[in-house]
Amino acid sequence: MLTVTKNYSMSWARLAPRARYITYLHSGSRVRGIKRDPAEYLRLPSGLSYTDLQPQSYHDRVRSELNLSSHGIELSNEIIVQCLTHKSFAHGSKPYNEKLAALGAQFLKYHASVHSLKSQDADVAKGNASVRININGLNFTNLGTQFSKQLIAKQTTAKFIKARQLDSLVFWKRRDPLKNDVYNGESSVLSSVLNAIVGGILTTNGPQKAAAFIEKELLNCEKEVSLINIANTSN
Amino acid sequence: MVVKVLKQSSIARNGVGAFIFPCKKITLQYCNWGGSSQGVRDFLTSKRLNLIAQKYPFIQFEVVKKSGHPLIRGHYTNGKEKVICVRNLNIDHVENKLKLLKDSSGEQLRDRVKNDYVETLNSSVRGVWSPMHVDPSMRHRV
Amino acid sequence: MSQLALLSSRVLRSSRVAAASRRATLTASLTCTRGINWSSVKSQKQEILSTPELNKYKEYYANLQHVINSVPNELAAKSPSLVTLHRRLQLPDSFELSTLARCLTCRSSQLPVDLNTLSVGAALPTTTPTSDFQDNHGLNIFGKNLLTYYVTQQLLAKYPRLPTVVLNAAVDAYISQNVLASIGMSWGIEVENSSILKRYLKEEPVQLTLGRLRFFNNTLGHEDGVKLITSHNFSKEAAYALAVRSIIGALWAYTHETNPEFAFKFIDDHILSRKLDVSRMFQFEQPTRELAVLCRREGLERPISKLLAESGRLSKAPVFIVGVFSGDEKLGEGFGSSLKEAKARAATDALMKWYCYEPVGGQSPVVDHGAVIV
Repeated sequence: MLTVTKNYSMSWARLAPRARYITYLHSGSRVRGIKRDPAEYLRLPSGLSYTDLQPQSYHDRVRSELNLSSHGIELSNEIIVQCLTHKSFAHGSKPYNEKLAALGAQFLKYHASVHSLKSQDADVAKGNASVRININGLNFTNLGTQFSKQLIAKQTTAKFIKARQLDSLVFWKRRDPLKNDVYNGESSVLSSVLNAIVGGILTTNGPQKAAAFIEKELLNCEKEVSLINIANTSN
Repeated sequence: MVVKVLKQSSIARNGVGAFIFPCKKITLQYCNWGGSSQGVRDFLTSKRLNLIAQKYPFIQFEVVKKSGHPLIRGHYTNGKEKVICVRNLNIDHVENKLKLLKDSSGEQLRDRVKNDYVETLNSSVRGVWSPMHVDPSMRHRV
Repeated sequence: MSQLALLSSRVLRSSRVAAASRRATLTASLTCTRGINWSSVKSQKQEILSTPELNKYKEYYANLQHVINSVPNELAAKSPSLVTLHRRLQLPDSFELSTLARCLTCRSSQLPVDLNTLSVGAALPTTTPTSDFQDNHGLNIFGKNLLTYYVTQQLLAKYPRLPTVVLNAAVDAYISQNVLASIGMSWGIEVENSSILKRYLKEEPVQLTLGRLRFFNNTLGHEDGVKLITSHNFSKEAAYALAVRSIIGALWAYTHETNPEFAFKFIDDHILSRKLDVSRMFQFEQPTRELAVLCRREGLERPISKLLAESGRLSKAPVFIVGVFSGDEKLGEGFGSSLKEAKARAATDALMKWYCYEPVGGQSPVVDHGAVIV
């Protein structure tokens, strides 16, 4: 494939500002030193192309799977794509979700621990209730238990993304496509997607809406697919 | 390859956000018999210590009875302590010494030499003058 | 091993006092009368004796354990260091003193059985075993979650483009264990250093220990420099950090309903007010290359380095000032004693200005695209 690009930035280009270059973009088998065609590497093995995403089939699907509109959350198309793009995709040349995931993971952890503190019931079975002394109605002995760790574990959040059928929309690159998912680290990638969505909501919509989203969507045992139900079944 | 990181620790600035009073504990040591403790005994039997303790509820006051000359000992949040011997001092002087210890930061006192009056963690706001950044026509030529 | 041998010989020589059984019973007995220096206390091995003095000690020990396991507020109010700590931190009145005392009880005061024997040297403990429900374990976990979230969020709000590694290191610079330990020391928290036996012989009231930091803290180590080395982390720093995190966690618990911002304000005042210069945390390997990739990704023109000023090119101390430009925009500037050095500094300066960008107030939130991968 041959493309014609214009370049103004070379120092001698001042003299001939409309200098033209011809670049060869290679597609097919990889050859060292040759520039690849973006249409080729910006594409998942499943055929989903990063460059021409349809809003109906991609962005709106993410919004409806996560019920964003019912929580009054507005996420722009760019942020949705960024949340679903892992650092491994296209060698990090496109906006990726690493930092949103780092922030979202902390926020999720904080709210999951608040959730554990407030739960007095039997889902945390440790010790008899008579010995406990609550602090302002919060039970601090619930923290650090197996269940409270399981609630936001990588496996649980990855299962959540899979159960909401968002895993096919995630842009990432497998370390070795022939090996299994554990080797490729699929659960880390998928859990980073959920964390990044939380982080994206937190950054753009503020902590109140993000907290409401976690409380009503992720940590709501009445929802069929929620972190609590997933953590309960995996125990 | 991405950017690498050099580990750093943040530096405390007491008073920028919260202010923790540096003096955390004051111990008054006196002798019930010796004449040099007369001032401290007067101080302890008066209302003055009560008033000070009410005014500074974050300082712990300890009274120790021990033979020998009377001492006032200040303990500070930086882990240091300062001791003042208050033998033969009258009640007012004892109170002044106690206030001196209370107001101290616990740092060792040192003499400030000239040009050493300012101690800061921040770099200069104005920047450093550079001969290379003046107008080229005004530059000094060798 | 030599450490242990030295330790046990010292124990044999001076005293054979065993006050370290888990449930307030003494494994070896001790016969002593009040007033005798405690180091001259003799013990008779493998023989359970019951003397009035021993019974009194048992009573003191049991009372101490009971008090630490369920701190009554009236007793805590009599502990001077606890009350002054409360006032020094300006905690709200709803923050109970008994909870503050709980924040100072570390789980490491409860030792595993294998460490709790005379031969290991844990013979003179400074604290009693506590119940799992009465230590600061859960408070510490919550405080840590709260701190990590809030510090990360504040740092990202201030510097939205920090690379992840630098962001994590900056969070660590605020809330790593040693920083929190130094904060705890500056709060004036004191460590319980004397053994229970010594306190009993001094007839010290039990509430005094409530205001001190209680963790596994062997008295032998303080007196002669002999240290017990184990695989567990019983350092003083760790205990201080636990206490600081627990106090913040408990503060949130008491104020989140009435004043949800209080705990965050407390973190702002005590932790985020510390000085940290993030620009000194970066280390670039190939700044020029990284800048070129950044410009390509952000759709800027290719960066070009240009010499702006120079002095003494042929002398032994030349100075070059190089600026790096993208089109007509100047991205950064650097100095150096060679053209190469100045160029690298200029690229580093440009990258630093990108990564350490601080949005002004009132701006819509910036979502960064991630650090540049070369």
